[in-house]
Amino acid sequence: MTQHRGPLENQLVDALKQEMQHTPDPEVFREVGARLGIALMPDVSSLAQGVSHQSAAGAAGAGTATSAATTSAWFLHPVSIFLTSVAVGTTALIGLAPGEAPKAASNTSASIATVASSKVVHAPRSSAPLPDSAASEPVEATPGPDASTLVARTAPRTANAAVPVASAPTTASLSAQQTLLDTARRALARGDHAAALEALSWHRAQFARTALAEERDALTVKALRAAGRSGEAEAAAVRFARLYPRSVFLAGMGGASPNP
Amino acid sequence: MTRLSEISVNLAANQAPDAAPCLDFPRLFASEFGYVFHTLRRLGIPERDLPDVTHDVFLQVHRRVHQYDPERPVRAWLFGFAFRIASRYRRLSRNRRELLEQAPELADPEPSAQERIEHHQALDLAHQALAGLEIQRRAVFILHELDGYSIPEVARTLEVPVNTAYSRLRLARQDFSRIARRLLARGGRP
Repeated sequence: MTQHRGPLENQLVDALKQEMQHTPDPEVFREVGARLGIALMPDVSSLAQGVSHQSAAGAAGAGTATSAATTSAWFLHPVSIFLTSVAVGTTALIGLAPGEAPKAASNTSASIATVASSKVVHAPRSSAPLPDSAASEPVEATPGPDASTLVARTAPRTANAAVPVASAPTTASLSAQQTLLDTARRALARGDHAAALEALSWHRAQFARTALAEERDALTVKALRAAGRSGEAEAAAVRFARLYPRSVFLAGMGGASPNP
Repeated sequence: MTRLSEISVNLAANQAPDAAPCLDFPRLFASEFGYVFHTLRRLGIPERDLPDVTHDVFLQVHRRVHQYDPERPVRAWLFGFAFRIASRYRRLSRNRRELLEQAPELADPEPSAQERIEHHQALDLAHQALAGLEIQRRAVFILHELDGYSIPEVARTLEVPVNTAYSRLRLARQDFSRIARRLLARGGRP
């Protein structure tokens, strides 16, 4: 099919193509990365070891890390995108199966680090379907299971998708968690229950035991109700009341009781 | 052994599509964040929600990363996520009776740089024309005209017959041209 574009159309299409070459706001990149537990670090060489291990181990979908990509300006100024708090008390292990951890332990300058990670598990962490059907997915609302148990129960292993689970809250961890909960809150506000539940599920998988679990679980009840999943919502509300009998969130939950 | 230092990371999405189909998730995020971010903008997600919706796309990608077919272009695969989530966003926005089809608010260019001003005006006009396209046609237009995918690949990405994709492309081109010229006649630039 041939349709010739005029100069105007060419100019507009070129403008859109050029825009794709512009780096989005580094702050946005860093912030979204932090929500996902990802931060970039300056030294990119050590992670290559991890990539090699993955490929050798036949990791799913891997082994194609070959590119003549243009070096990004962000790597020329890595400090601007490095979450400084990540370096404190953090062992950065990404993309490595648990059994490979010892090999990677020396990669303390891995270029892609995790926020507040002291433990690596493999994700995805729950069995969510495709986006459009995500709302029908049952959400595990019981707080506090060990994250590795959660993963073992629900997730196919994907050696490429290692993400951290926080066991000891740090300032960075709490900040990332709060941002994640804010994301869920905003999604709820715009009526996107699936996105809200997705963010809450992610938070639960990453931060099973945390000071913010109460807030997260209260939000989960709210999101389930908003999504019209009343049965799950009420069950979650009952569990919530049992776990947090003195919670300030109970007032807004309307009738949740630990002993229905 | 391929060393990561030789790979580089395409944070600005400034390379040919699919040059780095590495599906280590953090690396995928780093290399394709720009692509997903700009694609969502092209699909009409307003600037204020771009970070949240980009985050949502990557959460979904994370769940499915192990299902990626290495035979497929990675960006076309990512586009599928972005398109589904953007479509859901649009449905919800419509329910809230919000104005959907506004061109994104673009960052102000340097006032002293005439070229950048002109580019900004062209980009603004381009986004307005893009925003005027029906979403299914827009998806075909973006994938083919902007991202450079063949129509069979576009059809596969959007899960529509090839003839449908061709038809949508033809209509999208007509609409894009018509809308751009109408905007220009109203005093838009360039």
